[in-house]
Amino acid sequence: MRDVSFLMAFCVVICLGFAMLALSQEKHWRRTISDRPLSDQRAHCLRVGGIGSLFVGLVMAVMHDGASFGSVLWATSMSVGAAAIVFTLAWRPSWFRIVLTPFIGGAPRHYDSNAVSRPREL
Amino acid sequence: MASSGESDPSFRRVMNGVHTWAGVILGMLLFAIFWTGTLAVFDKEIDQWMMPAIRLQRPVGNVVLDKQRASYAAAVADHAFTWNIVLPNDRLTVVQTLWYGMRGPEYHYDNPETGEELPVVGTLAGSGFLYPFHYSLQLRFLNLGIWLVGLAGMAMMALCVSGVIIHRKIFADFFTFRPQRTSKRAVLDLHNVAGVLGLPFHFVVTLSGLVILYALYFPSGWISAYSGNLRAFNQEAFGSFARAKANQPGSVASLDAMASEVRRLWPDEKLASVTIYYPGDAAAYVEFNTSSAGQVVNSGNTAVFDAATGALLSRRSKLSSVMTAYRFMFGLHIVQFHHWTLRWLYFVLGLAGCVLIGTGSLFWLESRRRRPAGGGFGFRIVEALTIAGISGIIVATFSFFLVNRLLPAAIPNRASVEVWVFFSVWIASLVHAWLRPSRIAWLEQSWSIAVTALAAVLFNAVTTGDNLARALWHSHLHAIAGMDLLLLLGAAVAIFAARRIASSRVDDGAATPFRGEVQNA
Repeated sequence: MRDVSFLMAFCVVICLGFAMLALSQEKHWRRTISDRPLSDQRAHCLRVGGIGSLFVGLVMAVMHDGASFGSVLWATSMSVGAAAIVFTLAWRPSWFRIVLTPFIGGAPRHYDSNAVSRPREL
Repeated sequence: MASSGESDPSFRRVMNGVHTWAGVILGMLLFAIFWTGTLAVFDKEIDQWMMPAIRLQRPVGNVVLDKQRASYAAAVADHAFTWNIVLPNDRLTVVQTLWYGMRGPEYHYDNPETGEELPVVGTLAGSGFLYPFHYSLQLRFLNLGIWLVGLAGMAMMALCVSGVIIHRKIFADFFTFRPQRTSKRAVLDLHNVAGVLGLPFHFVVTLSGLVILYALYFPSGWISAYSGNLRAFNQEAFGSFARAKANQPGSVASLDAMASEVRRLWPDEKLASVTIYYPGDAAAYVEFNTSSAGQVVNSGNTAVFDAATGALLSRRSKLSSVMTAYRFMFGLHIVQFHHWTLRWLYFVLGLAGCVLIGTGSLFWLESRRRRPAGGGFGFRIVEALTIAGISGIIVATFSFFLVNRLLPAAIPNRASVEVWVFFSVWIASLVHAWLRPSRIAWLEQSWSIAVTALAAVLFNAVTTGDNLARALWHSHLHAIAGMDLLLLLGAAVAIFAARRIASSRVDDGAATPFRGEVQNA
């Protein structure tokens, strides 16, 4: 049970890290969260938060599994976690808004749900 | 395989050429290596699926080694050089004995409680066929297969590096995958995503694979320093014990007494395997290895006993730092440690490697097809090889599983028949890919994947009674459940791919269905 709760928390931390890194890029931000441009300050915060989250993941993995298993677990999970974000961005971009808006704000005032559930061509 | 433009610096253009040529020539060999390597991550589970007799509950307490005497006597009679026991662990619940006799490797499986041999059907299964295929392609002559795999490994590293160089927007496109765009664009996006995100794993797994076989690929070191005596080198490098054969008959004292001595030496370690060198000889010696399942470094402690007297001859609990580094790379690659999350991550990333290689080849085909002089003889060869290399090897693998459940237990050379079926189906898929238009070939082979996978699951349930529900219910059958579920998933993806191909416009060629097809790989 401890292993399962560790794994779930670890997955959340890794995916959250890559989600923030993805949203720090203007095109993903516009596609998922808001039509308004991404400010430099917010992009910076997202980048720092993303890298910080991945680092927290490394610490968690090493603390739970030791240095060698932990670092291998972290490195391999990064690939899979980033891929999960890529596919979510491609097929379910609205999930970002639903999950992240309460934390980072930025939803447009007149939100058009079609714009997200059926994204424009980039 | 980013397209090259006029404005490209020449270095990038050269790297593009390297990437394209290495990919086109060695792509399908790499796919076969990655595919079988990915399956080998679950080799013991495949063994359990293909050998229903070894699906036993895990034994409680220590295995009585002296109950394995009958197997040892058989190895002595077979003039074996070594006789080896692998003790039950969390992936193999029975005792496995192995020796290389007159007819090649002899694998036997014994009941750990009684020592009786289990009636295992003749099959090489995962650890005897798929895993050796991964590094040797089953081409034993002059080690040709191992050298080809080494060449492919070097090419893979060159592909990783050149791929990073020719990727124009590696950070800007880090998270970019546009399935709604043209099929060619989506295939390239998928190739880039699999390549960039999987890069650490693919690079390290390829490098460590090459490092494992350093003694073959880079022999000048040990040949010059040890006058060509590999055994002397290993003895010094690993601190392993060796002595000459006496050529006199000899006996073996109680193995269980030796085992309890090992447990006294290292009370916290678990015994993993026992090996007797020169079975039946007066100079025979017994090597006990403890488990290294709790660490990445693939090296446990070793104690060596004189077989006749049971006296301790040598023991080793630490390797030199260079050999520790080597065994770390070794362990990292062969993933024999106890860590289920990592095992699954390796499997997923191995499949990502298959997607990477497959999409690379598909992108080349798509680009070439659109050129004015694109559809020539050479193009058709690469196209047929790609179809057989991707969907063909999957059909062949699933047929290998299926025929294992269909063949009667008693037929002679049963294991060879299974291997023969694998290669026959693979060659047939190439002929099929050559004769049929590419879109139809992809379609029919996708359906073949689905049918063989579903039939394998069905016949496992019919012939063993271990259907999916039962396998999920009993913890000692979870390997069977996992195998069944992955086969069902493979079938589902193949059906999805086939339906996409069928609904794609004919003039779009085999373009649209790529995504589903490759994900199945």
